[in-house]
Amino acid sequence: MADVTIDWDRCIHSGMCTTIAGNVFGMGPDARLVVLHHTVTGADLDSVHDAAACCPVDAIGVAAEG
Amino acid sequence: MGTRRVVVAGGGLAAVRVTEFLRRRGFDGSVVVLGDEPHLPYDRPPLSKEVLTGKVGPQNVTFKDELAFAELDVELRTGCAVLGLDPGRGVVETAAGPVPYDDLVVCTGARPRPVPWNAPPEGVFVLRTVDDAAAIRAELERCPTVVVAGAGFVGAEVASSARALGLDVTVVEVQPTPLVRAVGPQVAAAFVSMHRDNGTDLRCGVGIAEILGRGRVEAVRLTDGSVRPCDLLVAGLGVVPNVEWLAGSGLRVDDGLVCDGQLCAGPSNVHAAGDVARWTDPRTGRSARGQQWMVAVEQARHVANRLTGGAPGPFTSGRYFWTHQYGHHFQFAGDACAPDVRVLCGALEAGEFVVGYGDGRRLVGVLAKNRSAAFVRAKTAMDRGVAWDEVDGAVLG
Repeated sequence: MADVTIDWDRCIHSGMCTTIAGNVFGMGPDARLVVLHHTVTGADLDSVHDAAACCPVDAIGVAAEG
Repeated sequence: MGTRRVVVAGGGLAAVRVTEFLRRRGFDGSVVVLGDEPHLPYDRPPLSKEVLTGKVGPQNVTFKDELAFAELDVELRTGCAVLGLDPGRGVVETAAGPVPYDDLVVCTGARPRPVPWNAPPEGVFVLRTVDDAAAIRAELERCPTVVVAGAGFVGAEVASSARALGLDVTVVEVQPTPLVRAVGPQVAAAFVSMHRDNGTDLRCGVGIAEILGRGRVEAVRLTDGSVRPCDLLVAGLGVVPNVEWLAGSGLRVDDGLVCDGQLCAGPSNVHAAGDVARWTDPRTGRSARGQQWMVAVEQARHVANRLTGGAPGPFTSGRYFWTHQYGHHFQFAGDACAPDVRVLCGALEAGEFVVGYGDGRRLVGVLAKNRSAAFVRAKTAMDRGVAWDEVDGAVLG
């Protein structure tokens, strides 16, 4: 289980996170990226780690809980 | 601890990401990275932007420190250029001796195309490495007049950075417009006006005939006969893949290491990722090298999946790239070699726009300037396979 955060000052909205981890990252009503689930586990956590590695500006934070 | 050994030839982005994805997927064998530079692996995109403008020091672009590589249980050998490959024996040759492998990932990248003119020993640079960036940064602090050869991404970003420092900048581009292959001729005109609006003297349709100056560059003579004085020349003329070390290996080399759809380079235990890898993109049917940050990462992920028992389909890439020029943020995804081009919102001559590229049936490419949210919406529509005649509704909502 881990907490997911986005550094909005870094984020350039590449959209890679929504492509790779669509269960966790999505688009809000204004088409801005949003974190749909801030706490993730299992396969979603694996996807978030991949999304973080694919983020061109290192804007995705993944911190293990506890 | 497993006994299998993965050797990664090269020490750039693709190499680092391969090691990270491997460990994330539970690979418990040994991992060895052979990087030819003396530095820790580092990220290249900041070099032409934040490093040149002095916002970020060249020492601050590394992916991770030595401790982090140790925690990842990755043996990083810097200053260790690969010299040859014997796939039959499963050995990479280096100056420090042979390095045996069970699986090899070739990530040796590319290097700048050298300047084709006789150049004096000082004042002429290419930009690829962190050492290049540090040297150019030092020159920018004392050279008020800069000529950039080539208006591709590197050239345009160097020009942008030099203008941000208040320098006199001329860009020389042999094509009639910049970035015509990357964004298509219709949209490339927008980049012409952007350069000129920001005070860069952009000269298209001419090349550099010769560099003038003995000990140091003093001017360039262009192919139209004009002479442009300069204290510094930075050439961004494209790159060539680092494949010479593969001579005699039996692997197929043709402007890159030729791979199949799974990024396998012939022997089943040799794969490639990053700028060196040439593969046929199933979406376009074209053979190409990626040459973009995101393609390198996607390829590293694909190869790590293969090496850890994943059975992914053929490698495909979203072909995403981004660039910052003169304070503007551009993002592209997909394919610009498409017959239909339409401005979906904004205007090409304005400060922001989204352009769609269509193949007659579907939206196949998206370019945005300063419209990040609309870009994501258009890219999502493209990934969903939205029909070309439904693009406006899908993107504009």
